[in-house]
Amino acid sequence: MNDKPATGFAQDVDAMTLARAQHGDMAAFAQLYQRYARACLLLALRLTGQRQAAEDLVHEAFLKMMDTIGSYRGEAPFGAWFKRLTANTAIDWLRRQRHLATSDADELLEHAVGMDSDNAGLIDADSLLARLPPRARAIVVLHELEGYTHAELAALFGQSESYSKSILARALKRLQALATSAAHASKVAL
Amino acid sequence: MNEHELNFHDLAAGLPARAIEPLPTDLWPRIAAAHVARRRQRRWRRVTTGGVALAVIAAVVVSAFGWRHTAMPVTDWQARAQALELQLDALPLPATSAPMARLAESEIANLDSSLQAAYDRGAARHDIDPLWQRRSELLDALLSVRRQQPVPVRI
Repeated sequence: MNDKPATGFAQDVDAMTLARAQHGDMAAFAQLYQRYARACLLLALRLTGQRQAAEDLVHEAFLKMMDTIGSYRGEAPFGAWFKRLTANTAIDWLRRQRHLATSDADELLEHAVGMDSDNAGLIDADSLLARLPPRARAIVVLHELEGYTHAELAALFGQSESYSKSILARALKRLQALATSAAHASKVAL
Repeated sequence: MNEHELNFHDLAAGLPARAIEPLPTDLWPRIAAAHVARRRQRRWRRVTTGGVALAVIAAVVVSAFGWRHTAMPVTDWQARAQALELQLDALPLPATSAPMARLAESEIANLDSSLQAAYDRGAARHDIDPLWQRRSELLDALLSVRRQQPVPVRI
């Protein structure tokens, strides 16, 4: 049994707050913001790799949520519903920025940024992700961290499941190489 | 490591977690203000769209009514009266005039005077038309009476 308190989108929200929010109560919306803004920012940051864009996405995702919360029927936990809305908002943003223009798997991963020795030792998990091109990064984040299935990713990107599987496998390989290189650079620096 | 076993959690396990700066404190007030503004805008759009729709419906109703109004056949009472007069002239004269016929003939004579006076003073069409209409109705009645009256047989 896991007694750790829920964090991020896994946090629950009480039925009263939800009902008030569904009636447009601003105080209830403020409570939802308090609860989910950080999770929303983290996901947006991972998907876009840019702080300013991520803040803009939080803004956009909350506005969307406030507009559409009336359609939330409670089939899934509210956090899961809102996470999906945030992810869709981020994918739409990437699409608008034409970051998803390239769909060719090989061409896509050619743009992965390499590791230079100057900052290799400072790398964290999110910086590692930021080195992937947007589409590959989105697939890794959504599949590995947010639990999307390949079928869902295929629908989201308008590609086949095998495309999503192929991008994921290649992206993880690339990340592994980057992580190894970072670890090596770190040892050398010491 | 096998390609199938590769996953991001394992890769990131040895890496430090990124410290995320908190969101700007003014972000929620900005979101709330934008939401309120959008809601107001939508309400206003609904009101104006409703108003425009009502105006369009009213315009359609008015124009349809106007069209029907203008499309209704306008009776030329003067021409009708003249046509009835010809029909009346074509009938043989009755031996005696029925009281109804006499009444109609007398009123027609009065109407003729009124018509003459109206034309003399240059009256407008809408003043003259009712006189022609009444004359047509009287001629109609007179025709019916005449058709029912016995005709003198010539020997």
